[in-house]
Amino acid sequence: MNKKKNKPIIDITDIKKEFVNEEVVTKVLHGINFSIEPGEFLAIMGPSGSGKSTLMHILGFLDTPTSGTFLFDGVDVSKLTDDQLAEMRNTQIGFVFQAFNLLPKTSVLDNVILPLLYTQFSKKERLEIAKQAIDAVGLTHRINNLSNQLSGGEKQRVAIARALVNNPPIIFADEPTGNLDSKSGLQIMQILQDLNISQNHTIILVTHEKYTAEHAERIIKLRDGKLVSDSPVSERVLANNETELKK
Amino acid sequence: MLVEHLSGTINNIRQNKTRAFLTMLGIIIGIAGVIMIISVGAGAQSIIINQVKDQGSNLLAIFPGNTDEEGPPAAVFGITITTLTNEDILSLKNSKRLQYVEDVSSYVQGTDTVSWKGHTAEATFIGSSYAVPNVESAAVEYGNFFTVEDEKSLQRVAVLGADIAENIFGDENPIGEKIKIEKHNFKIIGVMEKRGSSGFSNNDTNIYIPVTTAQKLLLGINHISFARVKISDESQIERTAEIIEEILKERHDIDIGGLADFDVKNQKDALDVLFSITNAITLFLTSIASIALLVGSIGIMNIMLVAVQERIREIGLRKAVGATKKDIFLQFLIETIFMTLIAGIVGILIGIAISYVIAIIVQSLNYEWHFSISTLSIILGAGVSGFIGLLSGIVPAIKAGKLNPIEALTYE
Ligand SMILES: Nc1ncnc2c1ncn2[C@@H]1O[C@H](COP(=O)(O)OP(=O)(O)OP(=O)(O)O)[C@@H](O)[C@H]1O
Ligand SMILES: [Mg+2]
Repeated sequence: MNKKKNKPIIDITDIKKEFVNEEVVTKVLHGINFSIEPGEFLAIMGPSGSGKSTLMHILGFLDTPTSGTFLFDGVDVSKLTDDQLAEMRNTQIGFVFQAFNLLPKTSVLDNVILPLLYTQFSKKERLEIAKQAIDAVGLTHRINNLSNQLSGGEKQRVAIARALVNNPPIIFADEPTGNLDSKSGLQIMQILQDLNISQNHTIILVTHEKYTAEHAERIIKLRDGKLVSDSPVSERVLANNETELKK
Repeated sequence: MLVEHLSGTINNIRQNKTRAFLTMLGIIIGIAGVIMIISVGAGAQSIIINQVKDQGSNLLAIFPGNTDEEGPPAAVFGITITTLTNEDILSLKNSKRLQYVEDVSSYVQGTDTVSWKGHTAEATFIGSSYAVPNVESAAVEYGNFFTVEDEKSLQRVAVLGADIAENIFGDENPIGEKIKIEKHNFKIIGVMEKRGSSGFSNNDTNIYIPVTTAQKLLLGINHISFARVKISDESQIERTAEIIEEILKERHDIDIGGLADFDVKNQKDALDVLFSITNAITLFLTSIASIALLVGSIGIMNIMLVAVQERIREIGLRKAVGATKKDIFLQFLIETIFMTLIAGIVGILIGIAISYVIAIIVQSLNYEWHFSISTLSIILGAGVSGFIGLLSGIVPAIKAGKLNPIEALTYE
């Protein structure tokens, strides 16, 4: 727990979010406070509709809060320009969407390479990096398949490869194992945990399963848009040991 | 960067074949349609103009009635004006001041029943001068045209157009036969060579008789419908027209500055009138083409708008992984320019090709169809379709530009 002395990478104070659709106001987040330090592995849990995805989107620079402050590495995110936000999305974070959000009728390779199109890498390097990311999620044999020809689990793995491909220091994963069988789910958790432990990436994971959440170091629970608990994991599950056990 | 965008563009188009195809088809049809319609309009115009030109550019026509710079002479509207006589015209031939007048012919015309041995037909008889073969550059195939003496002594002689000769007499030789026009017998002394139609009238169904005979015997009038004057030196046609006007004004006791009661037109005037008609037709065709273009464009817009949702989601995703507004705008701009450009070029080529094929076909039918492609039609077609194409491509980019990535990703 000596990590906790570090300056937080993410620090939110009284974050509120409401959606307005044709005069109908939906209040989703009612003032959330917490901070995440660099290298932390955090799991967010909570019932469906409690606002987990909404919160993740805000933290991932994809959506803006209605009120409250969001400091990223000490910088007030609301002060960033559009181009700075684009740069953050590209270099600081990888986002695994709950709904995958793959480009339709587009190959696995082209989907994974997408974030690299907005970097300075050469064409050859991009191809190389994308192939590695695809290999890491075990989809090399599907590399030229179109996204609509994939199973749910395969789509999820493409989404993960795309989030990893820029090697971002922070990875948001919104239920990344939701559609996977336990063995494939384990593979994903292994990748995430490895990124966290040996490469010191910050991971923020949303999950419904207590067991999956216990791969993290800390679990936050949301209910009706409020933070109801924030506690460290006492006995962290290590994905590598599980594979040993299963063998 | 640009090359990458372009290769990305080609990928994108490949991935959305149907949409790209339909959009491009809309543009292609729009442009090709406009080019084709306008080219066909110009071709049809050339047929009419050429037929008028065939009649010779060394002719002046004199009509009775007021001079009016604009529009056709009053006679066209069926108004009978009696201010011009055969004597007026004959005076032109003998005038010392008109050294370039080669020949003149007055004309009157009427329609009457013509009969021969029980055959009857409605035919147009033309009362004309003996000079018609020279003035109209028309040859007599059998027999002779009537002479100045026939004209002076009001002979009842007739020369048949090729078609009417064949209609009435079939294979038999008409020379020397007598036909009845109204109650009067006319002796046939000649048959014209086949001339084909010219302008809007068919000369091959005419029956030519001396103008004097037609006036006194058949019509009971002293005036003429119009006259033609053949000029020996084409370059003198304008000057000659002026002198004719002066002479006729003198004969009619009209001041030089006064309003004439006749109208001297050269072929250019006739062409101008025709041009004003055919230009109106071209304008009409152009407006039809424009409407077609507009409808096509709405089609393109529609296809693109249906695709907007999908495209906005794509934009949302691209933004979510780090694309800037500029990246997005550039991508869409290049994509639509690329598609519009290709479709535009194909459309222009197809438009020209179809117009050319039409020209070849019509020319093979022996019409003097002039193949031409107007720059205006290319600019109009390519401009409108291109504009709509670009617009429909950029609209999603602009729309999505206002949304944050999540709003774009969940856009409905
Ligand atoms: N654009 C929107 N407009 C209106 N309401 C919205 C919008 N987006 C989300 N909501 C509402 O906000 C609430 C929280 O949604 P969110 O997706 O954050 O839930 P979640 O915790 O991720 O749920 P799940 O576990 O099912 O994924 C839901 O009630 C949802 O209906
Ligand atoms: Mg969710």
